[in-house]
Amino acid sequence: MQGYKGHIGAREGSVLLFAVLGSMLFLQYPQYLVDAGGPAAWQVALLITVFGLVFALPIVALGRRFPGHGLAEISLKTAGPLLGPLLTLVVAVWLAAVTMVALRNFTETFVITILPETPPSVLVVVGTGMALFTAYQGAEAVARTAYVLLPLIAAGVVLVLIFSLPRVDATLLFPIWGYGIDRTVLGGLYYASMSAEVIVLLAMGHAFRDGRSLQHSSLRGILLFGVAAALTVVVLVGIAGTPLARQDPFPLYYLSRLVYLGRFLQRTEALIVMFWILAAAVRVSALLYATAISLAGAIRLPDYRPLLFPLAMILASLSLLPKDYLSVLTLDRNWVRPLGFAVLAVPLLLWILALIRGKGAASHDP
Amino acid sequence: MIRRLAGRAFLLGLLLPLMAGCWNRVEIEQGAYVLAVGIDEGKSGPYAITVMIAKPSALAGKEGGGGNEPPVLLTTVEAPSLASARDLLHGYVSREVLFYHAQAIFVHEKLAREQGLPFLDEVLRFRQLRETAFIVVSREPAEEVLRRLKPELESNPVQYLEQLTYHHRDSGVIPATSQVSAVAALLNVGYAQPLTYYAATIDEEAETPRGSESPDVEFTAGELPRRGGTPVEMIGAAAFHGSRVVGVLDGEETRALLMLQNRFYTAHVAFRDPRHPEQYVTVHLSQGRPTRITVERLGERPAIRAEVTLEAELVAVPSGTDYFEPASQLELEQAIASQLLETMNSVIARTQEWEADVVGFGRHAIRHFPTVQAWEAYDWPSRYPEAEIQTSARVSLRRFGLTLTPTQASEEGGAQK
Amino acid sequence: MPSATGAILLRRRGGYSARIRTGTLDPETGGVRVNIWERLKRLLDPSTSLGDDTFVLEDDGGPGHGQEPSAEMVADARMRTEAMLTRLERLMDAAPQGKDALEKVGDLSTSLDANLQKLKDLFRAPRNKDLIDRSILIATEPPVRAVLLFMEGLSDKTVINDNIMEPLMLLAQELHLTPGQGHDALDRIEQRLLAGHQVSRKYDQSSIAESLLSGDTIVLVDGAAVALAVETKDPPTRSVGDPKTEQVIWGPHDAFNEAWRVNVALVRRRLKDPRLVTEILTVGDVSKTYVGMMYIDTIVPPALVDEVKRRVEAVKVDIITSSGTLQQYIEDSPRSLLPSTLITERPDRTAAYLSEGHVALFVDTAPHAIICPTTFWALLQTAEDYYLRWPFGSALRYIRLGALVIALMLPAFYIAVVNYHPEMIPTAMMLFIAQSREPVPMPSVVELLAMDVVFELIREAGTRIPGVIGPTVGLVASLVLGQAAVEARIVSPVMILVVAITGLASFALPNYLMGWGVRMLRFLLLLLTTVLGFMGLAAGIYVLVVYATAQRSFGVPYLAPVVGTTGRVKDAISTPPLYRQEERPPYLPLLNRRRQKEVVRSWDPQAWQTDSPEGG
Repeated sequence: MQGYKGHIGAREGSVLLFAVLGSMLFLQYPQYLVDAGGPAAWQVALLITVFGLVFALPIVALGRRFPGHGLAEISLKTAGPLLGPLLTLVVAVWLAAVTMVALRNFTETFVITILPETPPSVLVVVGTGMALFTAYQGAEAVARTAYVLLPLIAAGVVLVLIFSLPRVDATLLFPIWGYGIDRTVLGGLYYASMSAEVIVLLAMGHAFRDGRSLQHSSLRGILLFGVAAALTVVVLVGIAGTPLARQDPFPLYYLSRLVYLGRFLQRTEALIVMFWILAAAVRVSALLYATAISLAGAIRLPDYRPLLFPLAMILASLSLLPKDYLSVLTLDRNWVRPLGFAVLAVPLLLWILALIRGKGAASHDP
Repeated sequence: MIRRLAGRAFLLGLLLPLMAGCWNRVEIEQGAYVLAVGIDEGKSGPYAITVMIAKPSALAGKEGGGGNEPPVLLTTVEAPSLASARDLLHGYVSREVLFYHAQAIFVHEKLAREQGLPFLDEVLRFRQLRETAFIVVSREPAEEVLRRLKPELESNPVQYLEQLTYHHRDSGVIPATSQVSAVAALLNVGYAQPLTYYAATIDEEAETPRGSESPDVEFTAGELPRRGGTPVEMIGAAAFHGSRVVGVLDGEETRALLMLQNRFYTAHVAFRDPRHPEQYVTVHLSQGRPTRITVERLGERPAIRAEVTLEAELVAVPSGTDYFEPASQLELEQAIASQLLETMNSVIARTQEWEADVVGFGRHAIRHFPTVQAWEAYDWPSRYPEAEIQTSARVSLRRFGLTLTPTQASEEGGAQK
Repeated sequence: MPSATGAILLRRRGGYSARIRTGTLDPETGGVRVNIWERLKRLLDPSTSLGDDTFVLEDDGGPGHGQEPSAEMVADARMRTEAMLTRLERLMDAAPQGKDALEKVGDLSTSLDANLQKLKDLFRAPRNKDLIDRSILIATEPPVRAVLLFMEGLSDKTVINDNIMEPLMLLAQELHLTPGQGHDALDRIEQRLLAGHQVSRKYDQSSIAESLLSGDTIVLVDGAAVALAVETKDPPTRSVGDPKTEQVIWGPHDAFNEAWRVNVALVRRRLKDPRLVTEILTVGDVSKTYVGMMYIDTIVPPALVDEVKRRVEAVKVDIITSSGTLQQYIEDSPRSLLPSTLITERPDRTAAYLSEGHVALFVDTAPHAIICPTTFWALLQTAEDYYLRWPFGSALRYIRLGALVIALMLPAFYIAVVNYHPEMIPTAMMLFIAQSREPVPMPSVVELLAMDVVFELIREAGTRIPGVIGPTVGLVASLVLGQAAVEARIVSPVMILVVAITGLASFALPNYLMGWGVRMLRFLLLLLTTVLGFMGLAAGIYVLVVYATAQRSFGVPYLAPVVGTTGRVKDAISTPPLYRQEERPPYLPLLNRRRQKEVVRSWDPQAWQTDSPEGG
């Protein structure tokens, strides 16, 4: 991967990160936020954004120090030939776990909501096929597809929120401090790894035009996600109220089912789900690509493409392992998300090492 | 060689969709679409579920398809839930019963009073049902109501119902449940108790005139003083405490409720003429300023003040009084306000009696609590019956219709007092 | 006669048998009268049956088979080898003499008759009646023998008569010229006698042949091993006409025709700049088609010019028939369903693209220009968008974008809704559709596919049918077939509506090739949706977008400028006002970005003015 000139700009990168993170809003993550904060879930969302931005800072610093390099190369240069690939491997394994969980989670969501009789394996195969095709075309294809599809994905969120506005009852957002500030902050801390996928951008670091693009992409993407999450949670609690929002695993689907504009526009949630499928496809493609490239970098392969097909098959089969929907949720919430903290520590470690050992471009570009 | 095999395999794969199945595909004409559901107590099973299935050829508006043939198929099964009712229905209904288009759910009042609304879990869980369906509590068994739901102006009975629900905007006699679904309200009873529509049928053959003895116009469902028209009436509201019905409000009370809830739009209302108490003045009421509800004191006995501001336009003054004079205007405004106050107070008293805060004062009280724990410790539903609620109403007479002075036949001479 | 050679070429089975059929000659009418018995005998006698009489041309399969090549190929190879050997010899002789001498090395001899015979052999004259040779005596003192060679039909007879033959044969006398020796004679003839506007010297047979085949006239002079080629090209062409596929209502109506020189001229009168360069490339061994490449020197990135030239010169085929074929040879992804070069028949559009830094290729005998590179959004644009005022141009483009979406997705969307999510349709409409579909026995998908096939048949029939009956077919098909199909309960009325709207939308797309691509993709999306509902549709859309994003056209991302560029995106879908488009589109690494001053409407007191006197 030396000599590869990347072309992804700040605009495309931030949209990519927004699509990867924002697709989580279509799953049960708003429910987690309401679970933590009750009526003050929007505060939890804002806290998560702030934490996410803080956690992204080491990545931004690494990107500025090593422009045009991806995670694998940075860790190799900074941590040496033994520790470096090990750290990259840790990140790759976590990314693989996230891919697998995302694949299964989305499949279950789509089966439950719009295709009840279709066997999940079919959807998993379709999803994996799409991700494989996209990842094969390269990082630019993933980022640019996300950029082109952004209006549709955004429509999936914005339309639902706008059409639900007449039903919002602002008093449902009270009491204003939810379960108390202490619980809100704790909840924010627990779910702060929700934006851990920002490491995907670092894994794709070589595909960015320069360090500034990486920086802008990470920060803007997390910011956009935070705003979208806060808005979603506000509308959700304002319509459904805290008790319902805490128990409903498909919050945005619930909202889209309530869309009822006179006699003409009703029951259109299937169309909204179609937009979500696009977001899910972007997420799985980006994650698969990041996994493949990190893995390839860790074991020093010159190209990541030979890894794609076996990796896809392994992930597809693994994703069908959990027995039911609840075990997928448990796996995600109790294992994968907390491990995200460990993964976010990797760039921090690398950055400290780079500072100590003085590696990388010491000049600070504006 | 491999490429040729792959090419042929691909072509064969293209034929796959033509095989039946594809797991979820349903041809649109193979569905029996349920338009409305009725739930009564069952004799042998837990519930008696009546479904109203649309007959497309009759309802689609083809000439000759209407006539005397009913455009829907009504049938009842005894089953524990709507989804399991499908199994029984599939024993004799030739198409696949689908609840996607179910717009209305009728519940017998007796069932709702005794057992509550137990099918609500299914409304949330079953993907074919959705919350935007209207829930209507009916005085008579739901089966009977559905059977007699034969609208005159529309061919689709559920469209008729839907049109009826739009009346909350122009006469305010039914609750605004299309905007706040009953289900959501049910799960948030800490804030406010839910309301649903209330319907009843009339007995067409009865000879005795309906209506009570009092000269006031009766607005209760099933007791409307009228002749002719569809046998089903939907007016007023059913008030819930939790998931059980605890009381029924009539049309006037519902209107007062809407005013208190700040969801009142417009209505044409008849009030007693203050100068001629045996006659009525009809005004077009509409909302002036938003209703202001202030919580003055919390604690053992919460104190709440509600201020309703309305605007009025004169529509009919049969007594001939000239209300164009400022003094008479004031008199009329105060008379209207006092009559409205009377209704509002009676509504509040009744809801306090039922211990059900259907107006939603709790939503305003909650602002004063910092955390959910504090709110739950306060336990508003138990404090509500003891609350002191003061209502005030202000009516401003803005416009007078198309004429200014009262109209009299000329032989009666001059303007009377 | 049976041919013993050429297993590859042809084989006559046996031979023609002697004529068996005899009759008597009728003296009165002059015809042959055959009586009944003779006719019957012909049917019954096996020796008179068809058997050996039919001419059969079959390929035994594969070249060679150990047989020698045919006489024709041997003769051809001999001619070429001779010419090449002669050239090699002279090259070696001329090498020590310097570059000038090297350029003049050829394979002609100084004898006029030898040259003439060689050329005649090359052209298979006198078998080939197209090559005309005219021997003349040039009227110098003493006269010199010369031969004029030209191709009948390709050359302008008037110019040959008036400007070549008349001066050489008649007017030279007035000048009392002496011919001089060898090459001097040639100089004198070229400079003082030949009154043609382009005269060049040809040294070897293949360039003479190329010249002749383009329509030039060759003058061979006795004693010189050089031929003079006078430009007398007059190929048969149409006059400049209307565009056939890219009509506009509000703009120029001239279109390219089949002569590439005319096309270049049409462009050149719109871009009167000396920096506009036309290079000539030749493609095809047998067709030797001229391909003209135009670009503006200081605007186009030089890397692009080199790449285009590299690709065109690398094409090794025997013939190029049209721009469509050349396009497939030089495109980045020839198997993609969306074209990555733009083919246009309008000179104004070509001029616009040239001024934005693209390269245009003109293939002789094709009434099109190939614009490289192109982006996806260019396929949705027409020239009219700029001639109208900018809000109307934007509106037109949005309509076309909507047409693209409809043409691609409406059938699939319909199937997804009707088959998988009937709850999306309002109740009344849903019941109507259900009721209208009841008498139809087929599933919705089969119905849709059948109607689609019928629609494609109508379209193809309408294209191929002779012009007089054309409109009738359209009328019959649309009205009668549609109505009759509905009443025969084969399709439901909603389906006809869906198919008709989709068809109309696919014809609203301005680019013909893209229309085809969209039609194919529509079937693909339909298939996916049939199996998986909205999931299939979403998967199809996603894969399409990824595919389009990853495609490149001569190095430019296919979806530029929406992706792959920084800064604001102008002029991809909506047209900004013309007076605000100060920069050329950003997706090409142009040498010169700015094309108009910031304040174009400098006369307007209301326009924003800048501080600098230049205005940008």
